Amino acid sequence: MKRTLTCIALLALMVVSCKKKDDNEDNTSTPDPYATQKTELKTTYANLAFAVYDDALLTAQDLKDALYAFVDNPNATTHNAAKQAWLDAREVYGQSEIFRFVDGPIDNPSDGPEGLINAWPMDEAYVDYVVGSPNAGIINDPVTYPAINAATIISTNEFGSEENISSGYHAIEFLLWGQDLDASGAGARSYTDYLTVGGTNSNQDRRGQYLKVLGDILVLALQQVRDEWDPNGIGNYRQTFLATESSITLRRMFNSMRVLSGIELAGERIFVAYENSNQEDEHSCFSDNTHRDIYLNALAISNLYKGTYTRVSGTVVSGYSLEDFVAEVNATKNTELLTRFQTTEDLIGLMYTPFDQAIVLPAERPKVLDVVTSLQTEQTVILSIAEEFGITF
Amino acid sequence: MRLLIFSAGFLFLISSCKKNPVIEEFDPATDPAAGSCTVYDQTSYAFSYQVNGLTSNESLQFYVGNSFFNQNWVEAPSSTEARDGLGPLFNAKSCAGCHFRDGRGMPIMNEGLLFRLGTPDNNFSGAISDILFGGQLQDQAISGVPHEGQMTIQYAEITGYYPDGGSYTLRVPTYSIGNQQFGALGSTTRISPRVGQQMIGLGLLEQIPDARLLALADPFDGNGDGISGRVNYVSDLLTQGISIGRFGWKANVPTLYQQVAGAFNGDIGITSSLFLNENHTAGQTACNGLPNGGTPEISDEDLASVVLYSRVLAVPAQRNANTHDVMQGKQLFKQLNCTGCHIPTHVTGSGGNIQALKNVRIHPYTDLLLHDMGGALADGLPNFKASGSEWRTPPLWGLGLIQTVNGHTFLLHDGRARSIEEAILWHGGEAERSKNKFKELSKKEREQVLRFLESL
Repeated sequence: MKRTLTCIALLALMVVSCKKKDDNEDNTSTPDPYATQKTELKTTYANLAFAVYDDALLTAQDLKDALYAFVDNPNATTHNAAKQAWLDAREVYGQSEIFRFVDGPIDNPSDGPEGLINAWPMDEAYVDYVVGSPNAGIINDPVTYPAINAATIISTNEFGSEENISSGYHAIEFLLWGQDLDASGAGARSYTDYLTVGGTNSNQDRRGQYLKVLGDILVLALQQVRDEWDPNGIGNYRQTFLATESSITLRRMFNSMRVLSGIELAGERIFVAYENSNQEDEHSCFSDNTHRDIYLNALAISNLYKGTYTRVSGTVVSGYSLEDFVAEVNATKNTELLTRFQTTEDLIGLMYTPFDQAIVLPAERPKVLDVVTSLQTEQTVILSIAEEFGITF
Repeated sequence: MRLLIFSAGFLFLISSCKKNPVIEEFDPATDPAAGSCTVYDQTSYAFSYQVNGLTSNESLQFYVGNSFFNQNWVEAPSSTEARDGLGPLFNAKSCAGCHFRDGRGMPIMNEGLLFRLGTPDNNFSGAISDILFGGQLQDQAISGVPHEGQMTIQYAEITGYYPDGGSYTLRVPTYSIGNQQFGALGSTTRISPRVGQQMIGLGLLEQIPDARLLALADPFDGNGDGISGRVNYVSDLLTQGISIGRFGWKANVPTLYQQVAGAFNGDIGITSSLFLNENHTAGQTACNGLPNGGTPEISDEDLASVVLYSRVLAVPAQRNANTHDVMQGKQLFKQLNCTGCHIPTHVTGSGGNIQALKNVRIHPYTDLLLHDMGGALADGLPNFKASGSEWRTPPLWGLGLIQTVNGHTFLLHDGRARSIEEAILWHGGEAERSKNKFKELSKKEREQVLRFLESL
């Protein structure tokens, strides 16, 4: 008896689901009223991506040149020039991170080079000496790693652990600045670590070679990503992207925005450092440049939303934007998000610098938490706008 | 036309009602893999999102847990005080070393593999370790300390045939330990390799009520279907009593707290309030008297954040659930009685302190029970009630995304299967019947079963 009843109940359920299927068919036959806008958004997205990666490549090439100049002739001037080139390159790269988290050219699992470019946090002892371990790292281990070349470094990057970072901006940062052991300033590595005659610490030649190779790898990796977005490229990712169904690409845009605001920035990059009060947890811990990373990542989110990016040359790249689109659909939410971007930016500006002190000084800590809260709210608004378009995560 | 399909569906339902009254039908579109704890990302980050509905504090603590999960531990003493105390013996420097992007390890050194060690004796009070090496091989050590040895794997290919003439190959592993630096392994000690498992939905599995597992258990195969699910009863270090085991390949760990603390201790060499001793044996004297990273090395607070993290990693939704092949495959999966152990649906209880995990209808495709899987998979290492040939049914949710997240499809406890198909073909013992029925399917039907499993 019970079995018969169950079957009847299931039968009834099937009737319902058959009916529902009809509804779905009706839905899919309705043309998307926003098809044009969504298509235009794809073009803007692709143009912004190309511009920012093209700039990232140009600044990485400058950085590479500066690293070579420094290693070939280590002195305070070339050292400072290399540091400045690194800081300049970061001003661009931070704005590119809105193109992550959707398995695009930067971080798709098959050949996305993100791990070679911007992996963090580093276990610095994996690369070079640290206080208390003068022989630590690949640089000081010529037995295991007789040759310092791109193959060695790429094969050791993230080998055995996500934190075994051997390449990218933060490895370069560590080799330029060294460990940040000083509360009042950044890491204080001396250029003498690179003097092959009369230098400080060991393996100066290997350290110099390592730094040069890091410059090579960075340029190659960014060239690869930039080429995938090149409007003159043939059969590259840009073409695939523009041919992808626009509801899928719209979802990707919102996904990157919510991940970068609520997860990457609010969670992993700021709150963790705040909670642990530990500079090991800050993004650019060697150079004390974390406040810029935070500012630039937040800017990247609003750049994508506003459909605009100002190139290093001063040229402004812009197009039909999510802002334009959302203004058509729900003007209130559009205003709410624009206001939130401004609030987030203002609160980031109020944080104490360097960031490693902002998370430690009792009077300054609440300001860090304010940024976290604002970014969480930003994520909530982004999610609610995405829902307007039937997108859930 | 629609009427015909409908009638066929009805006939099918009648027959399935007879066979398997416990297996509920569900539509993944409205009843997703893990209810409100489901996420829809299909990228390589698919295993790394937190569940929806956490409190603001839980949501933020998740990221603290994430950082302790990902970041390397370093040798003590170090200026990195929160994270020193690595080793002296260890397998990995971080949790993510074996669970890369919260996913699954590979049967390759340094990529998420470890060798469990033990003797075939069973006194039902947990696994019996090797007297010198302990319960697992630590193939790495801090500077100045010898490591225990090197994992060595050799595979021999064997060919098998489907009744329809199609062939397949399986690789049969042989394990040994090279370069044993502390002395020789005990003469009766056996090696049982384990790969790190994906981390998704663990807090939900923890919340399936004990009563549900006991109701599913059929220790003497009372219903005569050839399947005798058994509950493992194991030491609960938190309650100092005996609890039902849920985690680990032999369901030999009762809680995520104990699983996480145990992994910190055994795999990374980090002591906690639950495991106060370093992970070496009395005979490994080179490990004595070394500096440690505090007592314990991970604070209760930091441990709690990693446990929270492990509890609330969300479950990805099924993909392509309503395509023809996947739906056919789902029905075949049930017809073959794979669902006899890979039970699709449970509802979590109302215990615990995370609101988002309570009373959630979930479809993990596991019963969390022990099953004899036959001689070919047996490791000969009993663990509490688990015999040397019993294994816990692993959940299947997220199965098809392992390729996306981790770039491989190595399955089973030791990663010997190179694909879902090979994993099915390794099933024996209580699953022998279902496996043989799978082999008897047409090639097209077998593909449909695989499409279904890849969609999970």
